Amino acid sequence: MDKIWLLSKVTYKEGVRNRILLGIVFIAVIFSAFNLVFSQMFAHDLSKVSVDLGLSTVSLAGLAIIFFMGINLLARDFEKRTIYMVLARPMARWQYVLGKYFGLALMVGTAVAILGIVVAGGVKLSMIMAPQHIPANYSWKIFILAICFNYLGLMTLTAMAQLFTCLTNSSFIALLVTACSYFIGQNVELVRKGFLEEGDVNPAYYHLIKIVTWIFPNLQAFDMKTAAGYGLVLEPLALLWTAIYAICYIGIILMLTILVFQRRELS
Amino acid sequence: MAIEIEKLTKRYRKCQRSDRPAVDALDLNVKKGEVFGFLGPNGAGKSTVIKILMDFIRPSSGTASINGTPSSNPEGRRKIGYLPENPFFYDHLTAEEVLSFGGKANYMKGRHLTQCIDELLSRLKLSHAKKQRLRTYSKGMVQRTGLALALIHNPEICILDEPMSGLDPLGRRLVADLIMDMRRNGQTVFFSSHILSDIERVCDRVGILNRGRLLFCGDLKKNISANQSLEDFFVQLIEKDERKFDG
Repeated sequence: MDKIWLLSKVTYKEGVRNRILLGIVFIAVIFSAFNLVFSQMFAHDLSKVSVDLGLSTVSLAGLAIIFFMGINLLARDFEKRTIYMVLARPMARWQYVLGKYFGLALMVGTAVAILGIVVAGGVKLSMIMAPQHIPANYSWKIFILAICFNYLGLMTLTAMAQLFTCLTNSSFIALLVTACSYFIGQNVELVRKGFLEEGDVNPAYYHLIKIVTWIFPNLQAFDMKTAAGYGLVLEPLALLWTAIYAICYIGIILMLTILVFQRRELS
Repeated sequence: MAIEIEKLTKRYRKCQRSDRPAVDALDLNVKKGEVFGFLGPNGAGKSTVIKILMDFIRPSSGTASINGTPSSNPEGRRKIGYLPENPFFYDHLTAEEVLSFGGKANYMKGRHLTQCIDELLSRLKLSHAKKQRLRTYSKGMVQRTGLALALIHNPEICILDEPMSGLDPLGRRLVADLIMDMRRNGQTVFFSSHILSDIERVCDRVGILNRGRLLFCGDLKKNISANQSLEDFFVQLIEKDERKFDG
């Protein structure tokens, strides 16, 4: 466990000192300021627009961090052979996979926490400017939960990005496959509902979609923007199952990554 | 034995069509406390052997062990210091942080680790830059940081892949002196190099590899006549083997 933590710290330091991360956070802060102006243009549901835009900013910035930094940090280890510095130590490959993953999780978590605070400030300001539009049941707890589940979704994607980086030699291919997985993950629930619940579907399509829904994560499940915007009540049991789903999915993907990485040649 | 290699063969997938293994049934032993030079032309298979010893790649057949522990066991690397050819580190870390990581990963702690880092950085003339991020380092400084990382835990066995590459004459002298010190301390050094004069200066024994096969392994003083240099010996050996290979 010590070695995993040691590598996590190194990965985290390397990540947070990178200017790309600062750039992404800076752009997200500008987006939040823009949110203040933009949400005032709406006559109705002003708070909903503000919360929606705020949470979308966190989500987009998180994605940018995974795509442009996370994958780069992972792939650089193979491309530049910085991995030799780590694996020349008495460190097993599974410890390397977990250390890297938790380091990235810390890095994305820090960025999401900073952005969450900035975005919450923006939402609060827009609510002060237009108090009549605040939904009756609006709850900051649900807002925080929405950010936490957004983070869980990002962690699921990070695990997939790590798997794809281990599978391929190119960071570009890993980025492309991770992006495709993200889009499939975002729409898999929609497609499942559209096709499978309709009943009248070609059996080949039916099976294909079923397989896809089993393989790719349902990232839509982590999206709680609507609930946060309108202050809708969330069922604790549903939340618990969503969290368990994420943890299990991440666990399976990490196990697969370890299996792949154990066999990988670092020449 | 510090390093034992038996019938080691490595075929890369891309080489399978040509049917020529990168390393071909290699048998090699390195005794404890000796400085062993691993020589060979480019593509001879030196780095492949070193990567198998470090478990970065897996052999197609045969075995490699260090201090009696199979190279595939990560705990076997506890007493090994490794310097890769053209080392790269995390750009945004400082030399001090990299060495601290290396030491802690090798079970070093607290004041003893800090002391070792300071001593080693001072010895490798990097003290002034220890708080500087590695991205600002010159090639020679990166190479010396790599060496410091390999030596931070005072390893019993040092495996150095081209330790002199990228260093100016002063840096090369520094590395050669370090290797001599390691020999005096009873540490085993296994290193590959193209710089034959350095090999001649510091090695007890050498192994010469060509096309993945060991052409020579032994004591230089006993096998090279007084009026022959290592370079002549090396060139003759390789040319003879190439002629044999070409038919």
